[in-house]
Formats: sequence, C-alpha cells, structure tokens
Amino acid sequence: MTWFSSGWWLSLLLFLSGCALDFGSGTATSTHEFSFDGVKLISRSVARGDDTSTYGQSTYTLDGDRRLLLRFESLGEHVSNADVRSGRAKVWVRVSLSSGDPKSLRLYGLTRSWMMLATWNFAHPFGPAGRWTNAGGDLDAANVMTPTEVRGPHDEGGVVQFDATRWFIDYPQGRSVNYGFALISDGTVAIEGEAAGSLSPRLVMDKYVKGLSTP
Amino acid sequence: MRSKLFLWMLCLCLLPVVASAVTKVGNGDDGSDLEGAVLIDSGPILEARDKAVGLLKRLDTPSIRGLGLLLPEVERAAIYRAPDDRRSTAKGDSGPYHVDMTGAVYARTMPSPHAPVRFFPIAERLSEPQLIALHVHEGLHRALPAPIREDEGVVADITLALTGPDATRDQVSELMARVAPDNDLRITPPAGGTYQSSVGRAIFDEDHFKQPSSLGVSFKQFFSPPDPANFPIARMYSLHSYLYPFGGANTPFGLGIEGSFIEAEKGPQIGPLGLSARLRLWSRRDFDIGIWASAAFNTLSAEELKNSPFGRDVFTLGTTMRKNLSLFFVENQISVALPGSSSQRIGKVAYLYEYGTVISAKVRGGVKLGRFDAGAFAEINLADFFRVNGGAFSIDTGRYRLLSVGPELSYTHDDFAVSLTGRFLANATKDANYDFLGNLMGPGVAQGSIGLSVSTFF
Repeated sequence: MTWFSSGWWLSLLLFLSGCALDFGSGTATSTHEFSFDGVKLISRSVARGDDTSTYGQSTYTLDGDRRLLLRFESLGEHVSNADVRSGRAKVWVRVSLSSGDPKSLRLYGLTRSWMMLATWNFAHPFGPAGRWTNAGGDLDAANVMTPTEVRGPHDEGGVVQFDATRWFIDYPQGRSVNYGFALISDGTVAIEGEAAGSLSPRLVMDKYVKGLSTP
Repeated sequence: MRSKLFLWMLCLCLLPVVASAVTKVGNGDDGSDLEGAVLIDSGPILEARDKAVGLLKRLDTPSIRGLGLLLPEVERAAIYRAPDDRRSTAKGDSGPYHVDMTGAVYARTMPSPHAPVRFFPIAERLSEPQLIALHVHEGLHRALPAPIREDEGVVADITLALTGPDATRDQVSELMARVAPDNDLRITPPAGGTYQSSVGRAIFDEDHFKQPSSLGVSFKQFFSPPDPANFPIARMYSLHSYLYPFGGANTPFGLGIEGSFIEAEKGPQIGPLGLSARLRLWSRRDFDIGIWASAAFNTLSAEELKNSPFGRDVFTLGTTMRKNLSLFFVENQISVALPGSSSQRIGKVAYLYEYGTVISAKVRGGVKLGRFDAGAFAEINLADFFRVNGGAFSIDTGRYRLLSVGPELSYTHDDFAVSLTGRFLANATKDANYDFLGNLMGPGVAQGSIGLSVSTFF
C-alpha cells in the first residue's frame, strides 16, 4: 500500500509537470513546445518583403491570396531529441484561430528555403534565384497536412493541431533541412500571430528526449 | 698698389663678359636674323614638331643616357619664323640638316637648353619627314651634353639614328653609348644632376597639380532591379571635400571627407560618411598617379540604414594611373575592398550579411575635345563571396563577378568641372548585382546608375 501511494503520487507529479519517465529507455521525456520565430505573411498584394504588416503581428488573416509561412528557425538543434522514428513520439504544429473555419486550413511542408523578406513571388530578394518556382511558395503537395485536432467551436476559432511527424522525418531528420511550413486557407480565417503570447503558432514535440542519439 | 690690384680683378671679371659679347648662335651665325622673327603658332612646322615628339616618345628617349633633355626641348621650345631666307658659309652651318645645296639656311638655334628655334621661309618647302628630322636635329643641339652638342657630325649621326625609317631604341642607345660613353668625363653632369634623368627632373620641376584640392557635389540615380530588392535605394546625393595641404608640388597629400544623403523607399536618410587619405604624384613617365585609402562608415548613419544589408563599414585601398596625351587619355584603376559584415533583424530573426574581399579593376579611356573629355569605362568586380545567414536560412554565392561598362563625359573650365557618368551592369555571375557588394560609396547599388558631378578646384 505504501509503495502504491508513493508511486501514484510520483506519477501524478510527473504528469502535472508535463514529464514522464520512459522506463523502457531509462531517460527522461517531456513534451516541448517551441514558438515559431519565423512567421511571415505572404500576400499577392504586398510586393515588399520588409513590409512591417507581414511579420511581428498578433493576428494574420489568411485567404486564397494570403498565406502564412512558419518555421522554427533553430529546429536543427533539437532534431536529434525527438524519437519519432520509433513511432513513440509525434511532432505537431499548433495554431490558434481567432475567427474562421479551421477545417479550411491546410498545412504544407515547403521545399525550399526562405527568409523573412519572402514575398508571394520570392523566397528571398537576392536576384532571380530567389523566385519561388510557384508563386505563393514551393509546396510539398504530396504531403498535405489537415487539422487532426480542433479544440473550440469551429466557427469561432480555437486551437488547431496538425500532425507534422511525417514532415519531421522527411525533412529535418531525413535531409537535415528545415524549410518550414506554409499555412493555407481557402476561406478567410484569422490566425493568432507570434506577438499573441501563449497563443502564438507552435511546434510541439512530445516525448522530447534530451541527449537521445540519432536513430 | 691697391688700385692696380682692383683694376686687374675688374679686368678678370669682365673678360668673360667681353668674350661673350660676340654671340655664337647655333651653328655659327651672328644672330642678326633674330630681328623681325614671328612666333609660329600653327602650320606644318608645328604639326611636324608634334610628330617629332611622338617619335621621341615611341623611342623612349628619356630613358636613353644623354638624351634625357631631348623630348622636353623639342616639345617646349619656342619656334619663330624668320622674315627672310639667309645664306651662310659658316662652318657651323655645314651638314645636310641646316642648309640646302645653295647654302640657304633651314633653321637655327642656340646650343643651350631652352633656346628658341628659328625656321627660315625655305624650310616650309621641306617635306614632313624632313621637318621632323630638322626638329630633332635642332633639339639635339640644345639637349645633348655640352661637349658634344656642337659637334655637327655627332648630332647628325644621332639625328639619323632617331629619324631613320627603321629606328629603334636599341640602335639609338648603342649609338649614344658610343658617342657619349659612361667613362667620358667630359660629359659628367654637374654635381647633383644627371643627364639620364633630366626629363624626370624637368617633369618634376613643373607643378602638375596646381589645384589638387576639390570641393563638389554629386548625384546618382540608381537603376532599380526588375526583381524586388532587399533595401531599395533610389538616389544618393553626396558632398565631397578633398584637401591636399601636405606634400610637394608634384606629390600632394591630403584628406577627403564625403557626406552622403540617400533617398530610399523608406524615405530620406543620412547615408554613409566617407573619410579618405589621398596621395597624388607625378611619375617620371608623365603619369598622374593616385593612391588612396578610404573608409565609408555606416555606424554614423541613420538607424534604418544600419539595420540593413548596407549597414557595413567599407575599407578600400586603391590606386589610379592616368596618362594624358594630346588627343586622348587612358586611366587604370585597381582597388581592394576589405571584407565586412552587417546585420539586419526582421521580426524575430536576425540575419548576418557577410561580404568577401572585392578586387576591382577599371579601365577608362577617351578622347579630349577641347574642354570636353568623352570616353567610357569598363570595370570588373571580383568578389570572394556574399553570404546571408539567419535562423535556418543560409546562402553563400561563392566567388562571383560583376562586369560594368558606362559612358563618361566631362567639361572642365579652369577651376570648374562638370561630369556625367553612367554605370550599367553588363554581365554577372550568380545572379549578382551591386547590392551584393554592399558598397554604396563605391560601385553603388541595384543594377547601375547615372550620375552627375560638379566640382571646383583650388
């Protein structure tokens, strides 16, 4: 009875702290959330990459002419800490809607690098080489991600989560590249931006294991 | 006793004066033909003189021992036209260069540097090659070392060597070594001088930089690239002041300050501040040499520009070599811009722009049309790299080049000059343009520019 009580309390404590002991590997795992620091709106109507309305905002409105590029810039430092290939861990992209239908959202992995000066037509402003192959971003159309979890009323926004595990395996782990994502919506939705504090777009890695060797 | 001694001394002093009262002019006349002579300022005789100068330059006579003074003597001697022909039986007038078969004298000069030349009317019947030879011959009488300048045979031989159809520098040099050997003490130059470098001295003696300092304003309109730029700049205005308070007459040394003002899409801003140390010197070969070290400081610029790819300090070392000829000019310029970097923060991502060493080679040339210089330039900028790193984004161009061409037109009037220039990007690797160099005060930005500059010299 005594051991049960202490183990139960220990489990509860770890659960509340967002951590869990992976008894199989003997290492400490936890769920890590990383705010996307690369958040960039590209729009058909904005030609200048340094337009201040395209970054640093608390809300971005997306529709057929406006897309949101997302990237956790220092993901490379954390790639080896996600045990995704074993199938025990997942990587998620989480965004918060302030309005609009979350089911209209789709998330694509991008296939080329971009910078915060990106526009609808250009990934970067350094010559013709910076032009997207397809205006609006070069998308990995074969790996479209749709919302897997929606919390909150669909017509009043809420938290939307995409399973990006496949993308994580294909790009950061498989190719050691981090081109990030493009968030696209057919209808008009308002997304909380990186200036929105706890509602900012995030990359979530469950079973984050510090010091995990590369599979 | 004292008065006798004084009289003897007076006589000794006056002796050379009395002896020189009978002037031995050129090749032995009494100088009476100097009366009524008119300065020649145009015509075939002067045209032949220009060609003689060209010939001597081609043969590089300033570098031949004993002929150092020949070029400036031929080039700068005053030429007069005597009113009437003269016939002479003087011994000094012997030889084919001075008189014709009837004894009519073509030209005369005095056997000393800077003496004028008198051409007689009969000389106008000579052909151009004959006139060229005559100019050279008379110049030799003034320019050769004193012991041999009056030896008509030696002067005639040298004239022939210089003006012959197959004349080469080696032949002339060999002849001079024979007629004026190194060990001939008679032609030892005066203390402190040398016949070898007499042209150099003559060139250095002249003040070639009478007004080296300048104050001016310039304007550049940049050509926008077809694709969006990172930090588009439309125009740049600058005010420069280059003052040369130090150095010698032909080696002025000074400091330059250049302030700039730019018009970007984000509005007007203070541009980079340029400081430079500048040295100009005149070479023995008649070249205008410029050596400079400059720094364009962006740390003193506006906040917007600092937080941009152009917010770097640019340090440049360079040299120019310019040769002005009678009808055209040519200039080479070589410079090295040292590596540098700048940073830009956009949202939460900081980008670092790194610029590699840039070696620039520029050739300018053009024709001189009165007060106008019309020409063009070609320049190649060879850069080690241009890198951008920030977050997960990274590009590295590796080595790339930019090839620029453009016209240049300038008008100079005494202490005032206006120039109009154009710079066009003719060719580039790695999709580069001038933005990749990050050097606003150098080649500029975007795809090129047109510029207008107004300067005053003092």
